[in-house]
Amino acid sequence: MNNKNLAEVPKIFTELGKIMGDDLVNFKRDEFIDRDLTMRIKQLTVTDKNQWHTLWQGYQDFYQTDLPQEVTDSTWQKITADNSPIYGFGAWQGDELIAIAHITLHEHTWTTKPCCYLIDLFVAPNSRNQGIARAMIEHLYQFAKERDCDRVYWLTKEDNTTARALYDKLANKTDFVQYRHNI
Amino acid sequence: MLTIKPLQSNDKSQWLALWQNYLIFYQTDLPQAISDNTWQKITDDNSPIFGFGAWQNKDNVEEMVGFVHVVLHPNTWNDTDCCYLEDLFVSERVRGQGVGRALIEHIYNFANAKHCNRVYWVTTKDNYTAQALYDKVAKKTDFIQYRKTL
Repeated sequence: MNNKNLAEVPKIFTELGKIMGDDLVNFKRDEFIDRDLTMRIKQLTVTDKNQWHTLWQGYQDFYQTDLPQEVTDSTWQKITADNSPIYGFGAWQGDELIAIAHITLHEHTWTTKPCCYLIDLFVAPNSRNQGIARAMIEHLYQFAKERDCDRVYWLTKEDNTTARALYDKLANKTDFVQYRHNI
Repeated sequence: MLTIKPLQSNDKSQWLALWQNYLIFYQTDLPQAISDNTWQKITDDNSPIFGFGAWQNKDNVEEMVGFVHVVLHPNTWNDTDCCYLEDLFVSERVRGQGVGRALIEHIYNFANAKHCNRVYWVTTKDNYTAQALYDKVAKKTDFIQYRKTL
């Protein structure tokens, strides 16, 4: 995703010009052009907390969950702690955080290498369908490879057809079902 | 009489025999180096992988008839760890005698003592025999798993 150039100014600005007068619209258009729309993915750090928190809440809303504040605080602490096996990544457009992903690396019994469990992935609703989730997952593949993991895996609701349309392109669906016992 | 206890270094040969049968069930044959490494992690106090064996005493001979391996890992939805039950196997000879259930319930107690918030596992969707038991001791979720081998 490169910076927008003049030729790519959305039609809405030229249309608005007819209604609102070109001066006002030119101002808005320039603001749009100046905005750096290059997407960058990097690990979350302590200063990202506020923006992360907004997306984390949106993610919980999606799953109709509302975690206690102490859990959210603990999660953020684990994401940003150097000695935790939980890692968090953010996708940024300019200075706006538009997506988050959390993973944990853990050992397992079938290989000598650790595996990478993608626990959470969320893209801000107004940044969807721009390839951001795909870029995040591919970034995680790279990260996991560098950490010598043998696989990346994740779970999703069987009826989450939107997410699965992407996942089917990037990974293999296993024929596992999950059982859970809460303690 | 069934006893369940943590696997220890001197259990290796009996564990290995069951582990091989478990791999055959999954039509897998792991290199010896991986099995050795897995055993090392199971018996290493510093590893988050834990293993338990089910032993049957017959004519004063202790025989391992089942095992279970779990890994504890942190999670983002809880401030306590999750307990992922990775492997569970019971010798064909003693199936249908409650050994699988006893191993799972042992793990529930273990996870509780480790302050875990849940025990979870996956199984192939057509493994109806196992699921008949799992349906009694846990809840099937509506999650499916995606995997990318690197």
